[in-house]
Amino acid sequence: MIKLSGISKYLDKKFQRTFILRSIDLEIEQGEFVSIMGPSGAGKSTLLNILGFLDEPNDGEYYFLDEPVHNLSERQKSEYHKSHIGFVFQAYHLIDELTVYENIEMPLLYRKVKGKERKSLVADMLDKFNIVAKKDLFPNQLSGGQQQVVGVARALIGNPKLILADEPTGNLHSEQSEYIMQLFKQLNQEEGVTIIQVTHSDAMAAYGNRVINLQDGAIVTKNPY
Amino acid sequence: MIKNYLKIAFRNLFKSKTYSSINIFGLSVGIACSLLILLYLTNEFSYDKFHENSDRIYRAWVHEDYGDGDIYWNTTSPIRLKSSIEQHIPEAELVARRYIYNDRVKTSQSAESFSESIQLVDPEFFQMFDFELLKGDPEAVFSQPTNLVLSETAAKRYFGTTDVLEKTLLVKVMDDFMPFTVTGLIEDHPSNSSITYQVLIPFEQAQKLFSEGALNGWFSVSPETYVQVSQSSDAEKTRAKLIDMMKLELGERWPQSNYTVGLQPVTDIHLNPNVPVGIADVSDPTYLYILAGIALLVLLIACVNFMTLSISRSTSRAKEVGIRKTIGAERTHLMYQFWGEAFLMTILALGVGILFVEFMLPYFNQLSGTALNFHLNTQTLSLMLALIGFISLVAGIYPALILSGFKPVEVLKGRANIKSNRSLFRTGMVVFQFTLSIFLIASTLIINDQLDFLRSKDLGYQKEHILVVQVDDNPTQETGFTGMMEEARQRTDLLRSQLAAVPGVKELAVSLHTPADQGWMNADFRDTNDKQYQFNINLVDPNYLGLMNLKFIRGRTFSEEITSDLQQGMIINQAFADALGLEDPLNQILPGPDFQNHEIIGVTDNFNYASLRTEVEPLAMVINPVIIFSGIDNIGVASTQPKISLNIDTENIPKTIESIQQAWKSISPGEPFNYYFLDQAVDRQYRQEEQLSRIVTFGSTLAIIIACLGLFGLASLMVVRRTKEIGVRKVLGASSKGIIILVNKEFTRLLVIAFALALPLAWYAMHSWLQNFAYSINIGITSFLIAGIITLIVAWITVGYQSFKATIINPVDSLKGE
Ligand SMILES: Nc1ncnc2c1ncn2[C@@H]1O[C@H](COP(=O)(O)OP(=O)(O)OP(=O)(O)O)[C@@H](O)[C@H]1O
Ligand SMILES: [Mg+2]
Repeated sequence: MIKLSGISKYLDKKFQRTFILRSIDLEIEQGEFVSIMGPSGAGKSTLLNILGFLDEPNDGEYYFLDEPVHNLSERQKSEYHKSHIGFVFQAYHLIDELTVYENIEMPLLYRKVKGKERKSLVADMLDKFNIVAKKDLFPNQLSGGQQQVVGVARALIGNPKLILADEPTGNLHSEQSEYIMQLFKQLNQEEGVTIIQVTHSDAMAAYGNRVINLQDGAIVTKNPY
Repeated sequence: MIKNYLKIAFRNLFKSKTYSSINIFGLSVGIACSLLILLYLTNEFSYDKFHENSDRIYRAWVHEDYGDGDIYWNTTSPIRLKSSIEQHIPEAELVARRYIYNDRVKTSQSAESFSESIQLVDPEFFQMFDFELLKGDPEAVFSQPTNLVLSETAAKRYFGTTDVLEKTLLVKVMDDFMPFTVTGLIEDHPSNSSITYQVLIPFEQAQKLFSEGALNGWFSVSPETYVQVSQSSDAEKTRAKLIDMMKLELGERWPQSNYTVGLQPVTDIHLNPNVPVGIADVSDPTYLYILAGIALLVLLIACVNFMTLSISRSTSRAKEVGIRKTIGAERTHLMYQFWGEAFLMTILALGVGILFVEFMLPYFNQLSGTALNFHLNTQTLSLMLALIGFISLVAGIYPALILSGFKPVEVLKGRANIKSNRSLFRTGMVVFQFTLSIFLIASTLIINDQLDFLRSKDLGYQKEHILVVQVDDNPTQETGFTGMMEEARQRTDLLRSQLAAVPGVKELAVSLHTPADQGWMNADFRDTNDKQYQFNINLVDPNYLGLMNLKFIRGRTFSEEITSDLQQGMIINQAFADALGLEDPLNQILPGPDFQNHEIIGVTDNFNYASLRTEVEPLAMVINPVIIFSGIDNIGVASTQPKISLNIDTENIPKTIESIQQAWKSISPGEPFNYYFLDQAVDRQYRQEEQLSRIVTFGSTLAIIIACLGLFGLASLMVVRRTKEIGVRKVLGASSKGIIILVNKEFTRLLVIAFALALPLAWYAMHSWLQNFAYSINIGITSFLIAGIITLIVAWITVGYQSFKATIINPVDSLKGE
């Protein structure tokens, strides 16, 4: 599903080049549940953003479903965001002015899903994550864990093949974290969704079936912790 | 999707109520202001377009060129032009003349008569123009020479009803009241018509009003001649035909005058200052452009508020942009969304703005001297659509173009690199707003200074406490100007004796013109070397110059005791002496070959008998007009009715006027008593400038209010951002005063920049405007300084209030959040 070869990301500052990612080679198959780990500043978020087309590498090639990403137009990228990729963020990133219901519904609006179908899809989601009672609340009326559940629901409603999660449990206490991880595991196993998450915690990484260690922008075999 | 956008838009609106209301309020004031001014402008530009055939109706002008710049160009034309055009120009479908003279009318029942402007028109007038004939047959209203058509207003004035057909109205034509039968009732002319009318009689009556020479000559111009050409006519060919026509009419005399007749579109009359003024009303388009400019400025200032607000909120909106992009929104979606929000805001503001318009319209009409109406029709609707389009485009430009381009990685991480360009943009906007505000305030101050100057300049004559009574008398064929002035003098003598016992009246005198009259009698002649002299003429009685308190540079005023003064005496002004090149003009004569015996007995200084827009022109004042008429080549006459000036006491003016009125009634029974005060008439010359000043004041007040509203919002945001800093400083022992100064310092710097930008702009604009006047103030730095200080103080108060509010917060509260 994902094939990176020689991906580098660097910053040029006053004749000095600082590498954030150094020549990353990586392949991820459909249906994997991958955890990216590494110390702060290792380049994990950068890598994830590149995987999600939110950032562009300076060097190297990236094939997504055998499609060369550097050849994709903005519009095609948006198409993939609508139909293939779902994001979950550490800071949840819900839209403050929209209710739970409306936040979850929003991706469907960009996909021009008809009203009726939209309603039933959102209702399914609310049901699935047990937040029907909260559907008319605004994000600031929810706890962090609840917000993250909404974030996951929003990422899933578009029925993505791939979920990219940057420290999804970073702001949550352990009970909430476990709940989110259980969800991911279930999605991965039952629905075959590919999941790539960034995490600092071995416990969270344990939910997945593969760990990639990053250090100073390069993949290392050994667990750096 | 639209529902989702609307929800976001409304929730954002309500989330920040203060800013939203500042925004909507400011914008609606801006909209109201520009709607009003746009209404005014469309009215001005709609003049004379309501005639169905307005694109085919023209006003004829005549142009004579004798070489050496000796050119006469008039939009009044010879009386005989109509028949020539009908004969030689086949594409001329209709030709209609109009001529206005002021005289008296009365009903058969009443002994009293009224001053009226009486209009002679050809029957074609009613076919050519779309003034609706409410009663009467348009084909036959003027079948008799004594038929008459009344406007609705005039009908009500004289008969108290519009049921006026077959009634009789007596109209003074030359010496006598003539009975006319009302055969038509015509709607009042629309407010956007340069052709106005009250009482219309057939043009045939011109036979009685004009001399043989004027009726048949080519070199005397009186009526306006309007021509409606056929649809298929070719302007170029018509022009050539008109030239051929004149060559044919004048034969071998043609080359001497190069006499040309041309056509000016009727829709061009109102706003084209380059064509000479005829009978139709005109206005100066410069003022329209100034107004349009002010509307645009106020609107821009309001839009800028809108932009600054959206920029200050862009942090939270940027996050939304990032989120939307990660779930598949394209940039265009976001542009639609942000522009849609601006659109929504604008619609709300428009709603409020329309309320303001309804509320302000009467006041605005008073300001601008118009009678505008506001109702929804295609015109106002399209105006509003254009406004909405313009505002939402401008106001939404920042979020739509810049916010939508943010990269999700950057905004979601909250990186700071959007911040610096944002504050630069915001700074630019504040500077822009205050530049405009200072510009408008400085302009207001300078315009008002000039107006004060116009009103208070020593004009070289006494204008206070002078009452002017109009004598409704025109020179007739028998009497001419000599007889008319003689009669007016006799009347004045009678009046003087009647008023001898009235303590309030000091002196009386007759003159043909008084200062501030629109257009004095003017003439020109050539000396033996063919050098041309142009000058103005006033016919006076021996007392007039004394009454006006004119200052003499040489010689003396007229004396009743000296008989030769009455017959031959002439007094000129210094400008005429200069034009004649005479060091000492006393006892000299004008250098023309044909002048009858005359003698210059005095030279006055250059008193400003015309408005201060023009330099003082050469002037000759005589008691006996013949000595001038005998020697001149051309004469231009605008008004022919003499006036009696009375110098009255300041005390008990109403009673004095009442006594004068009674005396007037007894010596001229049935004649209306029309009077005005000279100083008011002089001030009225600057009505247009006064209007301008009022409207600019209005605009600049709005501008500063809107700009300060924006500043208020901005300052509060800045204070919110800096609350922590203020808290820290307070903990460190800074005084509240010090903190307020700190916050104000930032804005003060921006104001100084705005001041530096506004200064040259305002100077240039005002300098150009002052070129309209021959006499004007010097632009000093004071007006600019005052404008700058006003703006600074208002801004300080606004910002100071906000920062004061921040300083009284307990520092513990503001620091706790961290
Ligand atoms: N736009 C940028 N400008 C400057 N430096 C950047 C930029 N983007 C990333 N970096 C730098 O690249 C490095 C990697 O950043 P990244 O956010 O990927 O780290 P991370 O592994 O996700 O760390 P953390 O665990 O703290 O989230 C950091 O040193 C960061 O400072
Ligand atoms: Mg990270």
